[in-house]
Amino acid sequence: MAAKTCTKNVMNFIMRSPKFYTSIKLKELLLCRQLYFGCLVRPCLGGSSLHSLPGNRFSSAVVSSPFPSLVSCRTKSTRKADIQISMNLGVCGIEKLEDFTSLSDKSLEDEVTGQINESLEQGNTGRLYAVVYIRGIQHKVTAGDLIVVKYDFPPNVGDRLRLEKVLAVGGKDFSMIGQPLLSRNFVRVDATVVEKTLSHNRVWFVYQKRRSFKKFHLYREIFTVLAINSIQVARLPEQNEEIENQSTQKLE
Amino acid sequence: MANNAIPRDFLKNVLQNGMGRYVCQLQRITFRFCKSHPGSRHMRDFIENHLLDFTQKNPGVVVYLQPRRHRPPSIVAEFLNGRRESMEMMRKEPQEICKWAEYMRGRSGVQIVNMIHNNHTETPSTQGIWHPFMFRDSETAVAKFPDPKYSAVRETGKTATDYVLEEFNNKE
Amino acid sequence: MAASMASKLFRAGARSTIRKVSLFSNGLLQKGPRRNYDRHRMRYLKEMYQKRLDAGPEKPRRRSEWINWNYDAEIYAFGQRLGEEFEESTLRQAFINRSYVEGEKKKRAELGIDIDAVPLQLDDNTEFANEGSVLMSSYLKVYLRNIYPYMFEEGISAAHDYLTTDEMLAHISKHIGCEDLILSEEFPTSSATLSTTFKAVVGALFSDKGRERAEQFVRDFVLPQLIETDINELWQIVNPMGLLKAVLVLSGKGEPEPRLLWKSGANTIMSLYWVGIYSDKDFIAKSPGETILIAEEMAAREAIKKIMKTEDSRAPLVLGAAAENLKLDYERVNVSAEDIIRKYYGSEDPQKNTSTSL
Repeated sequence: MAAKTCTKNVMNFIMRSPKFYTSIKLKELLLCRQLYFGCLVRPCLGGSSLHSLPGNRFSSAVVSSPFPSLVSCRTKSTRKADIQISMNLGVCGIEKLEDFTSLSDKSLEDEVTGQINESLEQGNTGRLYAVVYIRGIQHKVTAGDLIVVKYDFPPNVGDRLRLEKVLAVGGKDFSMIGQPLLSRNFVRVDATVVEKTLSHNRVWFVYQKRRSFKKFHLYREIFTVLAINSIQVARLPEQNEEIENQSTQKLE
Repeated sequence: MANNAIPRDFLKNVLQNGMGRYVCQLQRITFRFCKSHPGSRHMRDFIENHLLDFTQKNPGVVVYLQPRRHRPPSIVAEFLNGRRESMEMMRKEPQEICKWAEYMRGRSGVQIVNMIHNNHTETPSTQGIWHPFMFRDSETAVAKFPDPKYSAVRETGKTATDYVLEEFNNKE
Repeated sequence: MAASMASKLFRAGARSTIRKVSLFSNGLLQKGPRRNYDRHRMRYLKEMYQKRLDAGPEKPRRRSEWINWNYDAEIYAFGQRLGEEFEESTLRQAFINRSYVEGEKKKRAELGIDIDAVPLQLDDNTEFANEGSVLMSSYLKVYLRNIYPYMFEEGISAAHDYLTTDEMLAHISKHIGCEDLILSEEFPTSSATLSTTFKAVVGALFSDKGRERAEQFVRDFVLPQLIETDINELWQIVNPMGLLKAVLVLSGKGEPEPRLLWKSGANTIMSLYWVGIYSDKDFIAKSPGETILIAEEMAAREAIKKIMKTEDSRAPLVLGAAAENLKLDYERVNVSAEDIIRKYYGSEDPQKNTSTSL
């Protein structure tokens, strides 16, 4: 039971409204809310291969469809939350200035989870970005990026890595922020070590005037270059699933 | 040396290596040494004891041995991007030569310069770059300024002065 | 080249002078500044410098002319480096250019050897190159159509053309190490020869290991070159608004209506206009521009991007390990923009509304 509480992840969701609008009134509104999940580490998610996620449109048969529909509707609750958040952000038409407060409405949580899951299933998430934590430094990465890890880093050239400390993941319409990390069961960031090299000669020079004290050192840092191959997100557990799983666990 | 005099460049990936599959960028490596001179003693030791391990581990790298009479030992690395780097191996122990050979294997062959950024991305923003009109109310586009609606003083929460006054009044 | 070598020579000479000076200054005889200056050395070095410049640049030579060269080892390492198991004979053939075979025949004829009596037994890579070219071309199109299912066929073929230009293939060919291995009469090797050799390597892999492996090779080496480019910029749309109109109307929506959303600094050189495009009061896309016309055109381009689902936030290419599970529809053909325009504008002269070079 203690292990279960350790794996408890409390997560922050910031969801961007979809770019399609049905009214002439243009509002790019930001929806920010806190969603509290129970246990995210679920046996139902652990078994499946992350390369064949529901979001991968190639895992199922490819459907050759006609033109995409240009209209995508926004739900009522999203709009309500948008307005509430726009107030909090201090945009025009503001009535009250308030601190960010967590939305206590449970149905909104389900709504957001449902929307994220839906876009994952339909493969609409587009390009994903992630914030990964490597050796004390946070890197914001997307697929196709290069990052440098300084100092001695054990992986060798050609090694494929999975970066497990993921602080945040997002797409064009949503962001998920871990507190502090996201569960490895539903985020996967893959990287390849491309190069291990030394930096150019850096100078470390210390000089004190009138003291005949001088230090001159040349040194080279060790660089490891990582190429980010892919970022993948698995389906989020929804409310009813959670309750079911909890009940089954209790039964066990 | 002044920092702006050193050549600087961005982080590069030769032929998008590692995106599809990883290819070792070291094409061939030549160990140059003298067969008789004591200066090449460690290099000869390296060739006798460690070179075969290196070749077996890296079948994709062509290894050449080039004896030169009474010349200092060195290694010459040739990379897939066409660059060639040589390094003196005088007075370097066999272990050290192993280390430098391994270093050459890990290189991408791009010239080492001062790096401007420690990351490289083609898509700096997924959600779109912020601009001043991003979250603005669209009603302001048609409003004529000065507009009494938008000129009104915004209602703020309790200020520090209010708080102090309240405390003071409470005390009294 | 010559100048750099000459300057190196010069510097080496200068260094040796300095060394001599330091030797003298360390001795007991000379303390303080050196009194005799070696004027002749300077003159000699200047002379040598001029001679090096006069000699001209170093003649480019094949890598195989150096002493550390073993063609067998290089051929073996080529396959190992790329992680492919080629058959040695096919790989050797893939690097033999037609000009090399002809040159060899000529050499024999000059030496007076009868070719019929002692056959040359050399085949050039033309056949492999043709096979590889066809395979690469078809696979690139299939892959791009499946990755961008809503993109117009013209856009797909523009991306395909970009990837299969001689320059691009020569670039790839150089960076997997083909350049030194090519057997050809011409030197330095032209980009056409380099690209033919790359195609031949693909063809050789196809004949050795089959279709799947060759396609994987293409996916791993050719397609990543698209990472650096924006796929929307490869296809140049001449009249985006005309195309947008045709697409919207044919998919049962109203005609596009551009509307000015915001403007700022109208009478300055930093003017900014944001134009949005609506159809049936539904928002489609918006874009900024220096003038209203530019902003409108850019918004139309943005709208076409949205229709093709290739906005800036589009999903990245599926490459590497993730691409192993790819299930591609080989029969797939995307919608052609030209068809749409013909269908919509019909009898009207397409030149009037939109360019035929779409």
